[in-house]
Amino acid sequence: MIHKRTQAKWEEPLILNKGGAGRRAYIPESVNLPKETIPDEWIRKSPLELPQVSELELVRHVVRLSQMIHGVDVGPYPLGSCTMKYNPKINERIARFPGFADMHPQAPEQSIQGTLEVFFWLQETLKKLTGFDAVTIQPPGGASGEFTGVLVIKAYHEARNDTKRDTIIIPDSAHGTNPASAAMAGFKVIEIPSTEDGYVDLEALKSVLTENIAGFMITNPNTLGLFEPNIQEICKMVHDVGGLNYLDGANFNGIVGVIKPAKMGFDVMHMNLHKTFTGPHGGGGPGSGPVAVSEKLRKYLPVPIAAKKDQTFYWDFSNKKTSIGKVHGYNGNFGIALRALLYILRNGGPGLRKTCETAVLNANYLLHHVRQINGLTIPKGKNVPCKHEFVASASKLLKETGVSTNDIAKAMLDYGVHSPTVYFPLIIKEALMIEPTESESKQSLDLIADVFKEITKLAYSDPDSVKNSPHLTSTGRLDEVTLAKKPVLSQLIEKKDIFS
Amino acid sequence: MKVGLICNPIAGVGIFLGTKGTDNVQLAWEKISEGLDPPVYKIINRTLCQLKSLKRPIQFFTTFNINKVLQSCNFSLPFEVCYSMPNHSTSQNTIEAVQIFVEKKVDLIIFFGGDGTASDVAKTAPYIPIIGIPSGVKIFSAGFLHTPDDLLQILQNWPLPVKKELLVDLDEKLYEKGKIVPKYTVEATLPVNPRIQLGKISYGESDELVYERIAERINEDKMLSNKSILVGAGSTFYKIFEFLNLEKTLLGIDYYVNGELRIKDLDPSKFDNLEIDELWVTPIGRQGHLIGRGNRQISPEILKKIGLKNLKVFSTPEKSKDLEKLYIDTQDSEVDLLFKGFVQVIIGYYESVLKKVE
Ligand SMILES: Cc1ncc(COP(=O)(O)O)c(C=O)c1O
Repeated sequence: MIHKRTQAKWEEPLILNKGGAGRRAYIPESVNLPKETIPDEWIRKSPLELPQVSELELVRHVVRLSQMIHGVDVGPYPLGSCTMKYNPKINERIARFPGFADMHPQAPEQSIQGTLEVFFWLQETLKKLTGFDAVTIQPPGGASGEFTGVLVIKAYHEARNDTKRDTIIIPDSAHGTNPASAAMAGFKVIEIPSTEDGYVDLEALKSVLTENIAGFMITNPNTLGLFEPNIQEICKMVHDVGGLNYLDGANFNGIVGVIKPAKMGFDVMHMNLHKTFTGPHGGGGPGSGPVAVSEKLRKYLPVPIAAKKDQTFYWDFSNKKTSIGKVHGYNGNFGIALRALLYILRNGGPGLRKTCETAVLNANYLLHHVRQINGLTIPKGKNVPCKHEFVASASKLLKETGVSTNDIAKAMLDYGVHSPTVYFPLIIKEALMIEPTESESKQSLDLIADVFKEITKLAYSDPDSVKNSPHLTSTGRLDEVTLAKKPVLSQLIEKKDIFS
Repeated sequence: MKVGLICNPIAGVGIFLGTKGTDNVQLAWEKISEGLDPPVYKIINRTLCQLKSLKRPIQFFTTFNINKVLQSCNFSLPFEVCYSMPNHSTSQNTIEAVQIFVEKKVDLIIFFGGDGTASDVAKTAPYIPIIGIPSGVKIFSAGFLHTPDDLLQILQNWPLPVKKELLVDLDEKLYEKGKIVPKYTVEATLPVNPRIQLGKISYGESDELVYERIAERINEDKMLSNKSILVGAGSTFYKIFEFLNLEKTLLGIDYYVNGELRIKDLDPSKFDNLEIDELWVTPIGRQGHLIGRGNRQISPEILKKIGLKNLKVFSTPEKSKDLEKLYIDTQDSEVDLLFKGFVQVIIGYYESVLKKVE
């Protein structure tokens, strides 16, 4: 019997419904803008609707909310593909240095030398880690990195007048953002099936390789946590018909410091700095999705790129003519870039290799335990170790008890453990994608395994209790349909009730 | 092992009557008396001849002399005719024959027919495993082999696990009007094997955008232009073609030349001498058949000329997602081989999914 944890439960109203008229937590200095210079239609006619709360009310509000959620600072967070590793607190301290925190993105180069230096060194370290020749930090997340990378592929073919290439190939195990990015960039997408073992089906790939192929996008280690055994051959097959190879680096934590992706035969890759290199992303962002490319693609990257001449750093616009243009308002999510650089430099090369090895070891340890659990199966990757994550299926449990993957996900919260990623990749029924990361100790890996054991056991003896879980969290199951169809994205929207 | 073997002699005749089934028995027999060779004979021949390599003793109870069929491939099997079909037989005769199989305590009943025959067999022998050899016009129920060539494997590996499943036979008259109304639903005992098909289900997408997006792609890529195309049956095409502002029959194969409808609902006599650049099909929901279910009007000779590379496949994403593999049953072993490989299924404005055809 493992300890459960009871989450705090506050009847916490929306902040707009708290406080009272005239209460203030902060009184900004008044600014005297000359009114004449502001066009009339820009001037507010009604007062801004801001919460009116005291500082104490504000602090309590935020602390209470923080007690009603789960995060990696509260308990294990084995959310597959998301790499929810520990975010070192020293990064937060450094990110708050006024020189970083108060920097304005439009400040002149000579006054932001430190900021530029961070961008520059991050580019350099990412080149070292990936084996590529050029890097942009501009894309604000993984998906936008994909979009950037695919636009670079497009620009490359167009520059060579190779305009027939209108299709990108993507395996069926891919993350949904891959086909979406390719389509956004104007490509058609062919999804190819995986083999029984979960790898790229070479026969299938061969059957679609024609001179219409612009590129091939793949995640490696793939979304099953398995390393593609034929990756070099695959990349060569695509190159042989004139296509380029794109690596989705969401799973970089499974190989970082051990393999340089450029050596596998890739031409472009994105990284999710918030995953591999600790940007806090439990709340959904901000992220950072740098794109690294080989020499021949350098001139298509977004501009500007941070550069250094003598002892001075500057924004380099020299590829303005060939570049795909900007993919972000400013130059990237600096806060995440900074944390990533800090993480990389504090670990160093050998340290990064060690984190990768530990992440893989942890995943395999957990895999070994999950494999023994009645009701769960490991459909792919027979006889091979996984990389940083693995995918289990609860199909058997569902068939025998009626308890689904979704039910397991909910029940885990009662033990203070976050759910794995569920129902992804799509090729596994009732998928549970488990990624413990290197941060977790043996004790917490054992805890995760025990939680799976206890919940599946309960599924056989008392399925309803699992199906009605969670019991100890601040909120129970949400009405997911309403959530998707009528999301309240702002309290003002809710107040006005624009949906009614 | 004891096997009952029965054939519905008019199975598949509806194809030549231009109907979407062979519910009208009298018309079918008339067509045969006018000189049509019962199409099932070829299928029986092809199916039984493969048993030459059968490596286990089987005692057959039949409704006809199977060694007459086997003469063409120079071998014979032990069998006993335990019921003789009269001329102009009806479903009542099928039922009587199956009753005798039940008395003989057969382990398995193999029947040549379509959904109607399947229902007749299953309601008479609900507890005996049955396998259908696809020979009818409607072959949408579970329990049929994907192609007749799969029988040897099945018998070699017998016994197989079995399950209970409802068979459905659609009312032909209503079906032709686009209404999926079951005439019978009968519970059958069916063997479970990847070579035995699952029952059709309909994927009525409530989201019209799904069809509009595919139509948009057809327009944008000018897929209909400068080509002569046979477009297969089904609600998927029916709805896509609505968005293309083109008439399309629900259950027929229609012929378009350069984006214009030329011939509606072709029957087998109309295919000869047609110029055909492409054949467009949509898989049968859950079952996965591209050819041989709902489009048996197209003869293997025509299919041979078209070939896999001129086959275009369309599907809604939902229907496609549930299909791991696709199947063909061209009614000719050699032509089947020509269609094996990979095919791209167009499922939206930009997305295709590659699937294996078996
Ligand atoms: C394999 C894979 N690719 C791409 C992405 C998209 O990355 P982001 O969420 O940073 O946009 C994810 C996110 O989980 C992923 O798992």
